[in-house]
Amino acid sequence: MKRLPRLGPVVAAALLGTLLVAALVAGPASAQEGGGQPSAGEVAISVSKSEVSALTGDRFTFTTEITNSGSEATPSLIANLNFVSLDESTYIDPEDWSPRRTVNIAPVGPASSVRQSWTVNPILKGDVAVYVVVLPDSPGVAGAGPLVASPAVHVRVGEQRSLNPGGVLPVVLAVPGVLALAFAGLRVGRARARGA
Amino acid sequence: MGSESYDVARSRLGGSSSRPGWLVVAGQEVRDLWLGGRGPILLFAFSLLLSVITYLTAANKELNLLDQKDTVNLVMQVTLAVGVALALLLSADTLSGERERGTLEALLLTPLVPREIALGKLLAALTVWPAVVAVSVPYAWALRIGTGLFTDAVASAIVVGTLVAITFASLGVIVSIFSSTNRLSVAVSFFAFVALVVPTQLPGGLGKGWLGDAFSRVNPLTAGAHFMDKVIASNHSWSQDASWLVSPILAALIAVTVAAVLAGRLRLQGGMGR
Repeated sequence: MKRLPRLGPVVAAALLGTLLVAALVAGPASAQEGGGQPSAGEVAISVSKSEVSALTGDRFTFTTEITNSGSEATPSLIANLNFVSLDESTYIDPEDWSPRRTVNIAPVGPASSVRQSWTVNPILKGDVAVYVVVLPDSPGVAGAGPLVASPAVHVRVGEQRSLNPGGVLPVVLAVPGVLALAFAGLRVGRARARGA
Repeated sequence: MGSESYDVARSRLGGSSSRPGWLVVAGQEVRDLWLGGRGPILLFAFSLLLSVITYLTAANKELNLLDQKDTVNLVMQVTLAVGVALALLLSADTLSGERERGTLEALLLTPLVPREIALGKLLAALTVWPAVVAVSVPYAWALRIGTGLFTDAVASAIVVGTLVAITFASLGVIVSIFSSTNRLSVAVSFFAFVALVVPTQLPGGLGKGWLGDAFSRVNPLTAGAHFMDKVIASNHSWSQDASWLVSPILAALIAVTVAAVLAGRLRLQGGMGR
């Protein structure tokens, strides 16, 4: 009984080793749950543009083409549009840059492709890489791949300076101006009335 | 109302005029407010604020960050908040202001009953609300996407803002009846306003849940703002969210009634004693 405490670390190490071995064995097995479906190398994404120059407030679109060169259809896919700032000064909130960033795509048959159009609203100036990632649309295999990324579209965004955004400038200037004139006139009128 | 204007009011009351006393007080207060310069300066400052907000929201709209409904909604919500705050602060200044300036005694010696004085001052303070709405109309027009949105935005602001302004202006008069100094009256009224507005500024999650929902429905300001938000930004019909108007309607009725009852206890020195 006195030796039992010394066995504790040994047992723990054995259990840990067993778990590690099991994990190593189980890893590849679960990665193959989507067996029979195209591997990452057989699904590819191309983009219709490699470079775009735009101004803030502009809107442009580009198209991705998801090609399955394998002999089996892919599972249903999720395509996700992503943005990465290429300079430290540009902060990117992806939700502001595109109204629709995630698209569900039906299985792509063998030796066929699917096109998907994406809309981008550049809102800050700077250099931004825009790319699309595709992964299986299934909780069981989403972590197992294939995870495929498109080439990045390099977007150069310049600042658009508008002095009259939305045509509101006349109102923005006129209302305080008219009020100031009206009240100044009122004061002058009252002062004259008092003096008279 | 200064002693000079008080004399004018008293002479009118003493004359053969058949105008009710509260109307005479209201008329004199309105002249003081709008011809004396306070009202115009407040309106001008409000127009500058709306100009900045409108310009910035229009720029955001160009960047596709906000849609037009949101920009119009923002302008009308600011109009509601500022209009109600001005009505509250002007009414909080009424009776305690007279008390502090030493003119309340003269006013209490007129044939006017305290309730007429309070009602007249309440009505005068409320004139700031239609003026604020009138200033906001060109901004809502400039940002609109169509006449439907513009009409709904202005109409819902008028309905909600009138109810909430009556509530808060009555609250200001109630506080002013009992406050011995103007500073105290304005501070208490402003604190009450901030206490009711702050919960609407909490980050999204904190205002949710049954407690947050109940608070939003009971608080006439948040309920009214919610109604406007749904009508303007979410395209809801008026009947769809009419239940959110219950609180502003009840609050306005209760506040005016309480102010009318308590106005009978208006005393020269203020305070809660008889």
